Amino acid sequence: MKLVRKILSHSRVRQAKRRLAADPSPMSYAALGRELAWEGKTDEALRVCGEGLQAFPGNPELARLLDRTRRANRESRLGELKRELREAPRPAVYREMCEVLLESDQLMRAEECALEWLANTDDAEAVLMHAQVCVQRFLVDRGREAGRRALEILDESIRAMERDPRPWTMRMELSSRIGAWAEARHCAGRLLELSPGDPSLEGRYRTFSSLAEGAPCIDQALREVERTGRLADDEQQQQETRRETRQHDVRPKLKEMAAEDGVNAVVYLRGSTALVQGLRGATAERSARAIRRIVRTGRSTARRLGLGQVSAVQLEGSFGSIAVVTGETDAGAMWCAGKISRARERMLMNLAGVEAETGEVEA
Amino acid sequence: MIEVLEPLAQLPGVLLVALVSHDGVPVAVPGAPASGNDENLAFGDTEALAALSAGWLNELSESLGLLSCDSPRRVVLRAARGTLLLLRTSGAVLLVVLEAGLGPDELWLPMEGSVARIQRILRGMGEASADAGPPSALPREPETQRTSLSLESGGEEPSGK
Repeated sequence: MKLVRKILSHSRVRQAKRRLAADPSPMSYAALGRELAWEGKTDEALRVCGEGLQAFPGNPELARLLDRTRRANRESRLGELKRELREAPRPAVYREMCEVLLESDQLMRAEECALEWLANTDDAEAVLMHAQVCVQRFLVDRGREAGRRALEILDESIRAMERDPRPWTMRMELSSRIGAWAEARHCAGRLLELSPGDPSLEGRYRTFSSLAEGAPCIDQALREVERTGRLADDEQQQQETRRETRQHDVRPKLKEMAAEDGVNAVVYLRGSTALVQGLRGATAERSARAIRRIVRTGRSTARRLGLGQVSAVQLEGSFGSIAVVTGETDAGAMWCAGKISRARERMLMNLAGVEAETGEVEA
Repeated sequence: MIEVLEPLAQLPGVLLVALVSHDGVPVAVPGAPASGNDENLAFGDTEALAALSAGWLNELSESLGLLSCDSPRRVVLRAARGTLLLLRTSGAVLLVVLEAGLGPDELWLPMEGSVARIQRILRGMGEASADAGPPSALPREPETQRTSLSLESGGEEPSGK
């Protein structure tokens, strides 16, 4: 039976290859990628998807297929690693397992694996891997407790491997990302003691020194990150993204949404600017403040609960429904009578995350 | 209360169910996620979870006050690692945490059912305690009311009256 299936599958791959040669479209690339993945040739499927994405950059179907195939690859590798760990547990296997889990964003499992590694071998590398997982977790959750924990484990790792620059580097990166510049400078100083004269480290030391005056301590910086949900380098990254992406005018979308039946108001927030459609004057101002508060408290509550970054908040009551969808730096909200339909949710999703041009406030 | 919350906790994708009273005391039942994904959340401190959720609900009510709206009855918070559902009832909040990526649509009906059962239980407890009689320090009002009601509904006057 397996042989028959293999023969059939092989012939389907041949057909898909012929179709791709005759018509090199995204559909043909995706069809061949699917057939190869179905046959278990995931590496070849990844290559075909990559080639297709080079020819048709940003094609959603090919991107999805590439993502799925990568995930399947990781899952199959995880299965192999689990077997290896059962048969002959050793540091190299534990390390690879943790790395694959980190790559798949399975942070809890990665932490469990690192702890198991630590319990079985008492290896300093296991402490470092645990620290790496905790740092990653903090960067995703941005909660104060997660940050403190990451720093504690990093300290343990520094104690366990005194002459190793990796835990110091990790601590320096974490400190600089949260804006604790004095701490980052201290770490750069220690790293310079370990590798004196390193020009890139010297450059960073000078940068941190220039920023350190009046900079918050680690605890204050962590509190600020938890409150705002932003890392110190987020603004810089956003500016780069903004330069790269075209600015959108969000107002036509807002008007279109506000014109729908039963919609009381539509709000778009970015930075300290709010665009409100459907309400006027003081009511518009109050509604913008209310939505901003809902977004802020929702973000901080999710971080404190360990739920990670918020994507949406929805409220229902005698007032109807208020749906808020949050992007990286912006948010869109809709207040309407009755329930929010799927179509309206999708419209909001398109609204949030567009990094709109909000040059003026419309109330 | 736990036997009312348990069926809800058994639903696929539910990580935690808790009933938080108005004074912040939680009754929690951990769920049994069915996805096989080990990337689950660990809610060790249910009291903190209950307090944070109740606090947030109050903040939401204050925010909605700016719009001259009442407190929300249903709240959904979708996040990267899970979804938090809050259903407000009289004097308590039913809280459910779902696995990431799951929608709340299928959960509202069982949640409303659980709330109705909880309210029935509370009503039953109230009636039972009323039948048993209040502590002696309190005045014994209900007996008089019941007598007057039976008089109003017609029929003969109770003996001894």
